[in-house]
Amino acid sequence: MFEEFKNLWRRFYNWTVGNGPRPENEVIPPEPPPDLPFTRRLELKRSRFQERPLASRYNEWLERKSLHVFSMLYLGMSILTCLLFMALLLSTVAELPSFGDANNPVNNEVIKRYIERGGQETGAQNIVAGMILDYRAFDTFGESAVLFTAAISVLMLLGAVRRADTEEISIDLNNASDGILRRGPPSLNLKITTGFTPRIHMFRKNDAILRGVAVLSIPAIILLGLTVIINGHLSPGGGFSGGAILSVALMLCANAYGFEQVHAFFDEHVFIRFSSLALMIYAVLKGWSFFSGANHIESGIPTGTIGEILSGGLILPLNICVGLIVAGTLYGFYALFSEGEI
Amino acid sequence: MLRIIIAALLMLAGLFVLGVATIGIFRFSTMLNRIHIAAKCDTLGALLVLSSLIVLSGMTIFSLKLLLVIIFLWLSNPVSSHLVARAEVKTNPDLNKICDFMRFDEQGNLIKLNIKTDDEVSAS
Amino acid sequence: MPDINNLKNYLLIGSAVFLSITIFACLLRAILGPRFTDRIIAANIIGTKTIALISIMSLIVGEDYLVDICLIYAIISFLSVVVLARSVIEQKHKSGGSNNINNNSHSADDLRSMIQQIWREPFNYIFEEQ
Repeated sequence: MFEEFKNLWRRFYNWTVGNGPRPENEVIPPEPPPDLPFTRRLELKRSRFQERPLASRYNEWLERKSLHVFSMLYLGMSILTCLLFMALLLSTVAELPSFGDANNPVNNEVIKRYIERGGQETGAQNIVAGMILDYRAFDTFGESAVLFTAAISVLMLLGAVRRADTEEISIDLNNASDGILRRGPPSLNLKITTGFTPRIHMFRKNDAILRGVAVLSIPAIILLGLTVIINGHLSPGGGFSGGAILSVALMLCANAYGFEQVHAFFDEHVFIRFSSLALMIYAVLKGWSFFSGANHIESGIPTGTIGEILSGGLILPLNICVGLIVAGTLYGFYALFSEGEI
Repeated sequence: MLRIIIAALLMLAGLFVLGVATIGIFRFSTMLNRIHIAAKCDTLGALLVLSSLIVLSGMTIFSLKLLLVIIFLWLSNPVSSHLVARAEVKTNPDLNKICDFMRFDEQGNLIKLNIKTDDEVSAS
Repeated sequence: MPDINNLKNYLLIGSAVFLSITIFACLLRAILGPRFTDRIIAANIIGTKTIALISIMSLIVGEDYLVDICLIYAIISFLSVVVLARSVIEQKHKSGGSNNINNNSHSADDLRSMIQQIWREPFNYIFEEQ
């Protein structure tokens, strides 16, 4: 009885896979087609179902056509999805209130408070800087943290290439193969560089014309960047744009004088330490403001008179922190993607 | 009134230079000629236009900053033309058909003066 | 005698319109240019014309501090041309010199194989004296 079940199972399996009984495997030969004229012979043609089982035909169709069908389906579905999203968004936009209407939810009392009492409360002549670094300093902290995170993750990923060049070998002197008895440290661990990845800055030739201009312009650009950072609360600018200008100066130096010159004073350790320090100072300063505000303590930070450099409470140190982070991050990305290391 | 007349003259000259340069970018056939045109446009055109703005606004911090912009443009534009021309010469494989050039070895000595004679030019 | 302010406004607004038309024409060159250096040059020209346009607009609107943007823009467009051109030149340098200018630089792969050979069998290179 077990044999019957095994037989049945084998037959079922062969049927699904397609190794079913073929006409040529059977003992009884098929009957030859009758000797009929051409028109009558067509009626006796075997149906397509009897030629081969459905499973093998389905598999073969799958192999031949499935990729084509799938790509066509994917194209159609993606176009449909895009159109659906466009329709949704456009219908949402059509329902928005008109631009500049006085009854908009955006024209509420918060804006009035910022405009009327912003200068007096924050001490900043530039109300936008006062808003992003005093009223809403936590959001700016999040932005700086995002920049820092991006730079650190790229550094971790691209630094792996550099670390793969080094190899650790260890020599065990006690069991040396020449039979000489030694007294000394039992094993020696060495870290040597066995691979050599040529860096692109090794193929750099001096360009006297670029150096001549860089000598004049790099100090001016650094000065401009510092001015924009320090005057963040008096004129448009602030930490983000000033940091970008500082990174421009670093990139020019790297291009004109070679990557090694900048690497001598701004490498990975300096970048990590400066960025972490700037973020922590930002957190501490803003944490004090939160603490004093939540417990209704008078925070002892003076706002000063509007229009002077030393005014605006904590805006100046926060601007400097943000500027440092942005400058380091931008130059770090440039150096990582063009050289492979900061 | 005189100030506006001088400013208008300078501005019109500047716009003339910029417009002619825009036409020139399309008319010149080879890349190295177009670099030439770009240099003219950037330095001379910007000088004339920004000078007219300086004349219009008088003696303020605004004019000083514009002067700074002019100085930086005059410093940086020749360098960018030089670098772009260098990049072009290094990467263009068809430079033989456009112009003649000389070859130097690494010390800077001349080894080949590849200037075509008239017969070669008319033959190619 | 026409109003002086009117004349000044007409001058400034007219030049702004003309400048923007020329900027579109340069954009055409950036799209058409058969080589990549054409596109770099077109971007540089668009940058310079934008500087002129921003200065004119700051006079029309009346805000004086918008000229700082022009300064920053000039610096950044210069830097972009420098970085693009230098990276192209170095890539060409690294992959074995240019077509037109001679220089004797080994490619990166040659250097790597030479140095790896020396690291693998250092004693061969010390005692191998013919």
